[in-house]
Amino acid sequence: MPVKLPTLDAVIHAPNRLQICAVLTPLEEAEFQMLRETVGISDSVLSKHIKHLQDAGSVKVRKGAENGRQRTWARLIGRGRQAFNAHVAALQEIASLART
Amino acid sequence: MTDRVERPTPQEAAAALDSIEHLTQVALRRGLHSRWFAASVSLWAGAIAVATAYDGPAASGGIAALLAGGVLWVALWRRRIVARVRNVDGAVTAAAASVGVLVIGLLGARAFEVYGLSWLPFATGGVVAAALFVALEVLRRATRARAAGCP
Repeated sequence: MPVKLPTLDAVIHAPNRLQICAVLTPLEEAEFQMLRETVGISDSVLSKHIKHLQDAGSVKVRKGAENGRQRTWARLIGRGRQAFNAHVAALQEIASLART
Repeated sequence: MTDRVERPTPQEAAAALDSIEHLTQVALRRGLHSRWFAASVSLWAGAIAVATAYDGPAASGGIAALLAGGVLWVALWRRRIVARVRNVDGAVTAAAASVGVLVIGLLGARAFEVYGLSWLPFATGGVVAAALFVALEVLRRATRARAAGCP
């Protein structure tokens, strides 16, 4: 009998975007600098991926001056969170194929 | 940038899940307060409780100095925040802790007034510091455990 394979989210599937979502998922919001350091990518690459996630309606970006310093914060919003959870569930399903 | 999804092998999927788990834990470590922060806040609150228990509300000078120092320190600490963890209401926690410190401090002051035992204010401060440290640790561990279950 053919096995029905789970669907992966095209936007989140890219390794860097998956990592960005993984960092954002337990957080309310994270500063760009922290995201860049944690994922280990450059500013320009991070901006490009965040823009892609923003366009997909997964991430919201907030800019603001705090204590005289310009800071940019990113947060995973409802749709992005759902997509990420579904993507992780699909990965779990695929990973479980190795055990069966 | 293309959005064509290449299906990963089970081994690649397992590696991606491990990476997600690792990054989630790293994010939590960056977002949650450290044990050192919990210890410092607890000692500070304990010092306020000792001052309150010694002189009651009359110890306004010492308490004001401690509060001002604490507020300045928290303001400096907030500048270093780079991530905020979900479902942790810092304002409510801080308000509940402040009320708790004040109530225990005033109870200590009353007990000191009635019994006159010199160690009572220090015991009050110790109780406040220990209770606050335990509460902050429980909050930290509970948040990490809850987040470990996500997504």
